[in-house]
Amino acid sequence: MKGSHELLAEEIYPKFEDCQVPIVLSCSEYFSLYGAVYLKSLLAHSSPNNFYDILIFTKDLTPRTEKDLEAILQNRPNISIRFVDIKPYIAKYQLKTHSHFGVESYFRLLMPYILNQYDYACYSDCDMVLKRDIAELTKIDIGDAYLGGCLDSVIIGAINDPHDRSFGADCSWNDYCQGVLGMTDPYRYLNSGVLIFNLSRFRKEFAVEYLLEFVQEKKFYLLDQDALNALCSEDIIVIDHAWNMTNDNGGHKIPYIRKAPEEICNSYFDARLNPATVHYADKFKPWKNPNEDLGHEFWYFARDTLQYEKILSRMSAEMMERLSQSLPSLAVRVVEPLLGIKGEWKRFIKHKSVWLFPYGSKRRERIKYIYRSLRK
Amino acid sequence: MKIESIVWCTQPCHTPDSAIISWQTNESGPFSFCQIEDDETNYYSKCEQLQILYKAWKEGIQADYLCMQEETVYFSHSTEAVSGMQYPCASQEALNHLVSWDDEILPPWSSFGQAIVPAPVDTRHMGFDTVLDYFTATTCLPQSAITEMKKVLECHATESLYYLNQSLLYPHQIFGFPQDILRQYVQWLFPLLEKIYHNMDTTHFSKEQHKAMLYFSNLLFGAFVHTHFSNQTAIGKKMFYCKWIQFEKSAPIFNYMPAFCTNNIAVTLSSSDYFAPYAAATIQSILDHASPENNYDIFILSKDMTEKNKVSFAAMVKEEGNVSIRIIDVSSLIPAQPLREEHHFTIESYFRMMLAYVLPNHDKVVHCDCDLIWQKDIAELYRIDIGDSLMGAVIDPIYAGLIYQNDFWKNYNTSILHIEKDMPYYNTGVMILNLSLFRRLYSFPYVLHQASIGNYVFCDQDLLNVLCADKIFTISQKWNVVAGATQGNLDTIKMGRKDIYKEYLLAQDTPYVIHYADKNKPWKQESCRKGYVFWETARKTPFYEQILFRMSHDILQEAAKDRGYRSFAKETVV
Repeated sequence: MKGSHELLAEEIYPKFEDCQVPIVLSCSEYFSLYGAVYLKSLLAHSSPNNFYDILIFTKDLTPRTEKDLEAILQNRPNISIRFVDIKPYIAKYQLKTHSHFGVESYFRLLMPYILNQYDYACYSDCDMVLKRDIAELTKIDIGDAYLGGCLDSVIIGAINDPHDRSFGADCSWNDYCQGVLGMTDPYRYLNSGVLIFNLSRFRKEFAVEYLLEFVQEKKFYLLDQDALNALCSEDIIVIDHAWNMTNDNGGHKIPYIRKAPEEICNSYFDARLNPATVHYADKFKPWKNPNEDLGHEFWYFARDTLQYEKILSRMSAEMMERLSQSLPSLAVRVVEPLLGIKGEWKRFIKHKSVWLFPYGSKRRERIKYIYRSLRK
Repeated sequence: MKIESIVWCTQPCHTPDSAIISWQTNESGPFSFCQIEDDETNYYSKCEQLQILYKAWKEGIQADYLCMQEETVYFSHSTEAVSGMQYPCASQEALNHLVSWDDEILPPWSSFGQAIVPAPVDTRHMGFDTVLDYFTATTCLPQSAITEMKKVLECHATESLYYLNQSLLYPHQIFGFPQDILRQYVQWLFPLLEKIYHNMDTTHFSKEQHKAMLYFSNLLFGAFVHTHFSNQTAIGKKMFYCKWIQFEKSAPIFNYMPAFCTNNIAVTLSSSDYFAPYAAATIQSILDHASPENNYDIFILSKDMTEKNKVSFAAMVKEEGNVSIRIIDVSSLIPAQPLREEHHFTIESYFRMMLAYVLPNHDKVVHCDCDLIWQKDIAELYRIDIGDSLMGAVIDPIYAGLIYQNDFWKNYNTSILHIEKDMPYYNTGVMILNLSLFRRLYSFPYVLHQASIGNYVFCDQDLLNVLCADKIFTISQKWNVVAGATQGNLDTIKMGRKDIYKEYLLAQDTPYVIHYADKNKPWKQESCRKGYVFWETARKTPFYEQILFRMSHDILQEAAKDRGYRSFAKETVV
């Protein structure tokens, strides 16, 4: 099916002749602090013999932040970083969002129609650090398959759990994958954190409007990850688990991984011994609480960035937010306003209190004592 | 009469004292009569526990009487144990007390050809109507495998279905069977297991699910016992219920070898999981001053160290380097009765007392607290020859002054600690321990007993001073300098012996170890003296940001408490 991919804005061409596979990331202004750490780890493991054509899809990065991110890559001649403003594409296609998924979820799907001059691309989330040269990933040949990616061993563990009731009393992950996603083999469910896309095949077979309709119309729990699995699971290449190794996020992931088929479970633990990436997938991030599993990998690179203190400062600030969101105890909520009363009202209450607490009485002394100690 | 009693273990661990227990089995070790060929396709190769029974089936049974138990499940012969109850840890003490195995126990049963089986439990007390419901809900096996099992039973062992559909459950496969009953059991069990195995689809089985045959054999054991017992067959008439108990975990036998063959500098610390970041700073300071000619064999004794922190500690050392860090779980050695915890002496400080028994292959270690920073190569301290002393330590200058300050301490010193006038009292923050002599002089039960009855103000520090009295080698004050001595402390020290005071002042100038001994810790108190030494070192560890996070969190929590923000104030700090 011919796709309707018009030329929007200006075309993006490969920067290097010797490197036709770009590395695509998506990053918001908020996330730029952590994207900086990712880029630092990329630089640390880069080789002067390889080329890195980095494209950052964004809707709100400021020029100042773009400069800061560029600076991390130290102007190396073999590394190029370009920023692609997605806003015009979003405006054109009117994308809906729901719950905690922002428009960033759609960037992956728009990629084949923005990067018309590329045949393949590597997409990577920013909430991870690299432990190997990412150029190796760009060199993996997925042939004619739609996608190359790593199995999501956590979800596969849930699929393999006979007692899983994640979707309700009668619906497990297995039922969801087979029923809603239509996967004939749920044990090949990919995680979308690190993917190699066959852009030309996407352009050939799916019109961009069809793709976006498909995602928005069906009830996908994990939005674009599920959509990609639903569309492409028949023809995917599974790559080394080390490229998308999740940490034990919140302590919840490894129990699920242990329920996965033995081979997949073993491949995860092998990857853990020698990971290519450490992916902090899910909501417990090491920049919110450094005590996270493998959090020290993130902080090792963070310390070397100019954004280090900002990350620390935000960590404290978010802690403060949690404090202000938690309610003071009932006693405080009731008593504090009362203690703050001054002026007319105070005189009025004092006057009226004589009836219950006569001057010179023990009761009055007692209530005065309580009042004063509360004020302290 | 050849009686064999096997305890199935997954690691070398304590078992009840008994002459009859002829061997223990474990995953890697060969059994004395079971040598299984390495055949990947056999289902029993994935569940070693079945191998003994499998061998008995294939090759016949040599023993006249076979008793099988597990490292955490035993028949109990103690009047104090409650049947079916779960107890915390299978320490030697607990085993002797609650399992109370006696060599007199098995022979009567065996000579009368009687079988002992575990007393059953009612599944309805656990919320399940039938044994099958319980099995389906608690096992990790997929429904397809359970359906296959039912099909096989329907064809070949219909009487077992009665067991599945009622509520009396035999939860563990522990038993004592004479030869004839054992033979009947295995000859009935394995043909069924083989049929189930061949019909099952194991393509997507997880590691746990691959133990399916073990789970099915546990279930079928119950069916075997139930069928014979309830129908009072010839076998059933010989069966007797026996009380049984379960432990949460077994107590490992400690057998750590030195990590390096030559120049092995053994160092130990004790730390809780909460204290791990600060222990990491201590270890980092050891690494900073380490010499490449020496090999550092570091142990951390802990009762609750999480996997996450173990990984972070491992990240501090390079592979193939000259440093090894190992974490020892000593929770099985902690006595049931609580030990006195006072001031800053928590249960972790008592781990010092366990060192001689936890490291049976080490003769000498340097032990230090984890709220201190090293400024010198720890190998220099290790190499100090303490001769025939039990321990080498630094004289506590503050205590030396305390005994002159008031009568309470003077009396305490003489009557409780039995330290003669002018004999020193030692601080155990940094010490060299002569483990081989310790083992010779004191047994672990004795040491624990002394710890529990002692009415010591400074807990295990006092106990060590008492146990090692007259056998303590004095080392220079520089090896344990308390940072941030207040004026009050200095005044106390001045009241003590002059030589101790002089040495203390000299040591303050060039400390080899800075010990943040007081409540005034640098990670809590910004004004802690010499705190910058701690921070310089902490910055190099993987725990640095966690320490900063905690510091902010502590400050906010204090503020929250003051302002009545109860839910935030109660949040546990990680």
